[in-house]
Amino acid sequence: MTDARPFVSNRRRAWRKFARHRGALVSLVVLTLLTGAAAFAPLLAPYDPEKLNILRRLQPPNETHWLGTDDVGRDVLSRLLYGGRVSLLVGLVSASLSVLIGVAVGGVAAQSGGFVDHLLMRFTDGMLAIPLFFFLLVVMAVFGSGLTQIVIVIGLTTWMPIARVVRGEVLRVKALPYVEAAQALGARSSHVILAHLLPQAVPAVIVAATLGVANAILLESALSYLGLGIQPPIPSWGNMLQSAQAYVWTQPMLALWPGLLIFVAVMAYNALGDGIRDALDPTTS
Amino acid sequence: MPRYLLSRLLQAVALVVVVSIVMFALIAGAPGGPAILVQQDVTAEAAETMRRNLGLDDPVHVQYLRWASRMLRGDAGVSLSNSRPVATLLGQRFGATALLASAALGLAIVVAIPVGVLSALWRNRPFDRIATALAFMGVSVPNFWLGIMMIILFSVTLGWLPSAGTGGGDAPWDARLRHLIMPAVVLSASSLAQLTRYTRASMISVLREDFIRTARAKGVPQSAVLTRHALRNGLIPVITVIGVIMPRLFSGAAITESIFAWPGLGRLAVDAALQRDFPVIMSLTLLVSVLVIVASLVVDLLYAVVDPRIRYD
Repeated sequence: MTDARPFVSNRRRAWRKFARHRGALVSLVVLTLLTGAAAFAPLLAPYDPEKLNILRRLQPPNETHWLGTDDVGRDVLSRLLYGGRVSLLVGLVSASLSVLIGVAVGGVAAQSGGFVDHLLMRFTDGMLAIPLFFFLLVVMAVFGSGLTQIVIVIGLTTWMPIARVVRGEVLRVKALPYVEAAQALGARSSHVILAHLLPQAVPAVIVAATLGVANAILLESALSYLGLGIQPPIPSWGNMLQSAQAYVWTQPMLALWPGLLIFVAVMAYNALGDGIRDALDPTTS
Repeated sequence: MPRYLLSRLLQAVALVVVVSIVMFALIAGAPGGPAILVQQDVTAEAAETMRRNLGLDDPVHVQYLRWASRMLRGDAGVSLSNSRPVATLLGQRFGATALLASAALGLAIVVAIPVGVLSALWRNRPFDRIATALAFMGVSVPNFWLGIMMIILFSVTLGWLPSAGTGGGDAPWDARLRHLIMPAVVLSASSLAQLTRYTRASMISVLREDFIRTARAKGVPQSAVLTRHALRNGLIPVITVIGVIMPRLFSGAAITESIFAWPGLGRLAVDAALQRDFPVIMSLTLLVSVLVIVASLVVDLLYAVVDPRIRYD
């Protein structure tokens, strides 16, 4: 007994490391604020985000409209709050869908092995070879734009890295003796996957999912910016930026806020993902 | 090596086939079916007539083979929005995107590699902290917002750079260069950031190796340790990242070209998607995917040439 340090479980050590990661903690606070503001948008927003008032269009920030009004006289602050609902929700839901598909494909490939594995992985490679944004454009063109379509389309086009991670983790764990023991005891294949293999992939999936939310927010806002995503009058940070671009010469501030919020939200999810990865990585201190 | 070359080539071909099947499945699964390639918003009767004329009652694999063989011959159909052959449209737009993408890739390499190497050498010092923070922001910044902010700063406020277009084919070279600056910077932002992070990480792990310590211990000057031992080993893996960046550049081009009204393939893709011009958007995506597959094949082979330790048998 030369080592006098008390035993620390992996989970607790990860948590301590996470708590020391300044970037990740700041991100957590920022994301809580953004999500809170979006969730309570109906209470916080001073105006109806879709109410037009042509007489008060393109106003600079003032006492009644703190961030001014847009090209058809809607209150920018109210639209930002409601737009956050759309952008953050699309990010979360489509990243979840992408995780579901990725885990299913990666898990099935690793557990089946052989031909099925080969087929699924070549399919994954093929999907990865298509530049993502072009892929999104094709699918949006075929199935049309709208909230539901966007979520489904982003989910269907971003699961591939997760499938690879899950497959790798499952294959690694599958070779460990305790899994062999479970099989020797007669555990069913489905039980082995759900109880023994997939849980081991959870840390890697959490990291991928967090980074995936950041990516999904970027994709939604880019599509909406191009006019292929969320359609006005429903506000999203992306489509607010699109309508603001026409007024960069007269009201440049209109373009500042929606983009800044996208930037901050994406940065926060990326930092959170990095923080979780560092915390879960036993080789860093 | 020849055996590796052959198997890698076959893999690339297989990938192209998988991509084309995905694309065809999208066409076949679209509301209206493959008829969308001939006419927009097909009615039920029109679709029925077309079914017979286009041979859409044939089994799916026959339809796929017919479509694929047409694509292979370069016959990608006719644009639904302006009735011109898709191949002609793609040909006209290719040059602008090639120019923009190579400028962005060049910028990313020229800036990211030195910055990444210096960051690794001066780890945790102010330079590294600033570079790392900027690289982190670079991977998170929405490039369409970055583009608009740059337009506000450099076109609206300072009046230094034009905000749209290429300046035209017969414009003097300095005018064309001024048009290229902002789109190239915006397109390279995320790749530059990613490449910086990767170069830094790769160099840090090489600098920890035993052979670096050995070289220093036997009195090799610092500059020689860096150039002869560290750089040669640290930069090899960076080549693979350049392969990863290629698809990102094409995706970014769709957005960047739309912000700056740059007449390339990316803008064509966005316009085609907005107008539901399926022959154009489908062929474009297929073309871009093939380019990416070829690029990653070249990068893999280059990797084998540059690193003598890698022997593919």
